[in-house]
Amino acid sequence: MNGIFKFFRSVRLAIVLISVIIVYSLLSTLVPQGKSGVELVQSFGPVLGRLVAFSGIGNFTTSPIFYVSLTMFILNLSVCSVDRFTRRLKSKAVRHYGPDIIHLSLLVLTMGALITTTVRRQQDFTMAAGDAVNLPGGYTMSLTNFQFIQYPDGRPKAWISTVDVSQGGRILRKAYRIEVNHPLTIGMMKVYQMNYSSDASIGFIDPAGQTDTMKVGEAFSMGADQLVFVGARPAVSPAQGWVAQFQEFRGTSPIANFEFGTGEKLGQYTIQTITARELTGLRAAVDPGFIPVLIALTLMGIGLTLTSIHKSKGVD
Amino acid sequence: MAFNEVLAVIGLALVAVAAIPQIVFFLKKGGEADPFSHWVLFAAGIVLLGTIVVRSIEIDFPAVTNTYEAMIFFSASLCIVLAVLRLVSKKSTSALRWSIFGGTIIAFALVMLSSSPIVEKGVNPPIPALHSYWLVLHVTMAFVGESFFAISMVTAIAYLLTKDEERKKAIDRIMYTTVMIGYPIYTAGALIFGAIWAEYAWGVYWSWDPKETWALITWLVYTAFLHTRLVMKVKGKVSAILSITGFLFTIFTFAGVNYILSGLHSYVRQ
Repeated sequence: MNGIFKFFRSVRLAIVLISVIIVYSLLSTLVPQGKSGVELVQSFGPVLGRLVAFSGIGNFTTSPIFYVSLTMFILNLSVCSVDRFTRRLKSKAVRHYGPDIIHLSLLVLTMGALITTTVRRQQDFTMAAGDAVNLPGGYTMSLTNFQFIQYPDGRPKAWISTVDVSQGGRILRKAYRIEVNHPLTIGMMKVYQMNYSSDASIGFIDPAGQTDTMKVGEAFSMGADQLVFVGARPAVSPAQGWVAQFQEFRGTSPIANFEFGTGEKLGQYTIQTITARELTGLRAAVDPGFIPVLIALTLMGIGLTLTSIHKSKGVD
Repeated sequence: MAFNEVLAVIGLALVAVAAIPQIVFFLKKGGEADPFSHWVLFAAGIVLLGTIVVRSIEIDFPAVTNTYEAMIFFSASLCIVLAVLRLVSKKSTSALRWSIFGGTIIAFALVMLSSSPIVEKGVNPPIPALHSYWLVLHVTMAFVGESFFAISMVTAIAYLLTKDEERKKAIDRIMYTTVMIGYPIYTAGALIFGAIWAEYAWGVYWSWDPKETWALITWLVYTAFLHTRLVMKVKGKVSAILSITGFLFTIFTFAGVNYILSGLHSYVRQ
């Protein structure tokens, strides 16, 4: 028993485990994640592809090597922390707890991460103004307004989803503005502004003078190329309505992007109308693990500050 | 040329001016320090920060949201840290002079690199995800921490090149002290504030995004530096190698990930 305790108390073990985690996580950033064994063999060749698949680097966070090294590291950290703390209590030297607090923070952080991995729930969805959605916990959220504000150069400035939230017919939030970096909090759940899209269609006149419509994903044939209708965005000036977005493909390769407004010609086709509904992309997430993580981060800040003060005074 | 770019050029010139007396006094025998290069460095840091302030006024938000601004801020921070290091040091050793000279070269290189054609210099207000004061804390504190790591790295190179044992001791002391100060600042900036910002922006505090993973790897290298030193009492060559490795990882986390690996942080290319 004493031998096991000594083994896990070892700083050498900590250094070895840190090295393993460094090398393994480093390699994981160089390999596309979530690919199948066949795809890895296609990308890296038969020998390297099989090696990557066998090592689990392609599924880094769920691989046995990651779990084993992390579990060993947590055991190592726990034993070191207990050992260090009990020795401090017995010692008559000046007590300073900065490193103990840092170690404790890492253990709390690990606990939070474990809760997040096992308990966190997330639901991504899109809504148009007037839509309502049922959320976990018996909440109903309805979108009363959605604004997509752009800079003059067309880059996104803000996505603002204005929502009402009710539970059992009782209004809990009225006209709450969800923005990126400004989520809505209801109990343990948070609703985040993630992105923006549109379900669009165009009306056009074909070369024979007939009127037709096209939905997202459909394409015009332009000789050897296909001009695929990929969506619509609001024109920078609201008075101009919508701009239709196209991507030109030669075979399966995209070769150019185009945007056209109402009345403009695409070869022999003339765009007559562009209609679209703006859709807001939201994410509802419940993560009980974030509270321990926040506590851990605060403890880490305190521990590092105390350690720095002690070191600057030359206590250690 | 826009006013903010004029300030960046003046800042670059001041860094170059600071290096001249450093070289002259470095080559002089007698071990005395030049009396004013740290003040020039301090001025360079302030002027480079002026670049950030002017751009911030133009976009109505702290301008640390693209690669150009990050490089200028990094250089400004490094200049100011070098000046303060010189001011608080009780005596000017050759180790200190080397550290300050090496740091000055890195500050100069950063501003030079920021002028590269592949670095977008447009003054653009931030996209929604970057519009957060947690992001500002995340970026600025990470770079202040990295400024100390840069000084530790140049000192580590000096350690490996030096044969004199007395000099090695002095160099080792600077290498350790700079990591000891930079580590908590980097931890707060890169990891703590970064995680809080990610939670507010994306609803998840950690995604194993390449930038996050490399920031964690960098942090683990400096954690190993401190543990080998404080607990295992290993100093000298091992510390020097870890310090150099840590800074190489810092640079890759900052620049390499943006241009080579894709992920949530890929917008910094814009």
